[in-house]
Amino acid sequence: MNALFAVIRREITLARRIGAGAELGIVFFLILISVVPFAIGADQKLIGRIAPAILWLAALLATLLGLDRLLQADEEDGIVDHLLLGDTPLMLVLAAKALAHWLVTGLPLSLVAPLLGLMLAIEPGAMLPLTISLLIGTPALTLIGLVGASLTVSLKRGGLLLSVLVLPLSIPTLIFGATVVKEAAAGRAYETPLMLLAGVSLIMLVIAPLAAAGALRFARN
Amino acid sequence: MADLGPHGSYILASYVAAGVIVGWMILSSLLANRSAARRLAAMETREGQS
Amino acid sequence: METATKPSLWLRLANPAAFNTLANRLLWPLIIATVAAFAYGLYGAFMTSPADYQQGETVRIMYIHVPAAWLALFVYAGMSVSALGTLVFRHPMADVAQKAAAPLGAGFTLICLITGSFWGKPMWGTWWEWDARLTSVLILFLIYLGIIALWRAIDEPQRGARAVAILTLVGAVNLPIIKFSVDWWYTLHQPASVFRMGGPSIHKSMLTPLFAMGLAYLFLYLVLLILRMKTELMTRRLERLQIVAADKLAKSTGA
Repeated sequence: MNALFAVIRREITLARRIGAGAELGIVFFLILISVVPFAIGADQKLIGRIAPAILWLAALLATLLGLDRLLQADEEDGIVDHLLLGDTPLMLVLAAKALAHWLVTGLPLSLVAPLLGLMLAIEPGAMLPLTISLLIGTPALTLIGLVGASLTVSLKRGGLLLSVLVLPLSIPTLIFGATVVKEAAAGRAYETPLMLLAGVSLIMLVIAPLAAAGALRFARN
Repeated sequence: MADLGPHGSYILASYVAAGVIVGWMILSSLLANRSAARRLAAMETREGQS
Repeated sequence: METATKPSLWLRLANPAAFNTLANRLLWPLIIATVAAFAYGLYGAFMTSPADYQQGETVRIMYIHVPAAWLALFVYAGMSVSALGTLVFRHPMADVAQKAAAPLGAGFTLICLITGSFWGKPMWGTWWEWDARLTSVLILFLIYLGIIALWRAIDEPQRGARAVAILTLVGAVNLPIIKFSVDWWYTLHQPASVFRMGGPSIHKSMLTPLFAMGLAYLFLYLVLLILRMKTELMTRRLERLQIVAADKLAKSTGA
């Protein structure tokens, strides 16, 4: 257990050191959202209508950011070899790394999303569902990304490939997450998509560390 | 052949498109096979000589 | 009796020479079956099958569209089995089969998408409708492209095979979730009037050419799969020979 806490603490410290902590993720999120009106036009009504989609897309892209470095630095330093030989199951270590990544990206994004939602003229009633859906859904994105990161770990320029691999798999998360916000904004019940979103996250929690550990181990021999 | 009705061109176009993709799959597989066979044969004769 | 011969066949197939013998024996019968099935299916599609009372002659696109969707799924299922063969049983032919299958699966998926688009234009009035089935097939196509991209990115065949196998299995687990989510998403945004491809309006006289075309695609797939596997085996042998030759050269110049 202590080893896992150490992994999480180390990841967060490292993220802060290289300036890729929570702040940068939020800035990226903010920039994505500020760019959208320039593409769409200053039509407040239209922006308000597609705000749930924009916010969820921005969360998806912000989560992708930095995923390719999630394991690569450790691979280069030989830390992955250490982890493979260590006593702690690799699956758990990878889950801890994913948790740390989520703590510096998904969690802060979820918390600031309502503020940015204000800028996008989102319905006040959809603020809380927005945060809840992001809190429940972004772990799934990070976990899917973990699989992609483990598959592309040895590639010099895996970033683009990682997105190609990861984006199709994150479609269910995007569908359920954006629907939660859309239904809430329209004043309808949103429990069903929320439950489905939680289901996706739980399934990913089971599959992703297993697949990522497999990918790292199989890449060796 | 029967009269294909008002949308005949769409029907023909879809068959042509499918044919092109099938043809491309066949052709690329065949060409790759031929070139691999040729390179392998060249390699083996060269190795046999040395 | 079955169980006694089956494992030995699998074991024998692990040897490239044995595989090549079997492949050469199967290839021509499969080619003949492919041509025959295509001839019968296409004849049925244009000559004997009736026009649909709702869609008219346009229904003839179904005979190349629907079987392509079957093959798109079938190839993926086969790749998932190969992925298990690579990871669990370490069967040396499994990753050869998987590498050979991926572009073919993408090809059939593309046929499904393009013919669907040609079918959609007269029926829906647009080239592309975000219909649940077409959208699911599109995502399947993207996953195929991802698998092919990963093959290309990792140049070491063995390592690439394992990475692709894991990606294939992760995709296999995700496909039902994606299918469900897309269907669910589509019911939320159901457009006013929807034409259903291959709905309940299939006549018996349409089923025969449909299945014939399905078999034709299947045989074609098997022919090309065998051909591509042979190619892959030759390429790997070539690479091994090149390494041996390079070693020899290094030794002779070093000495």
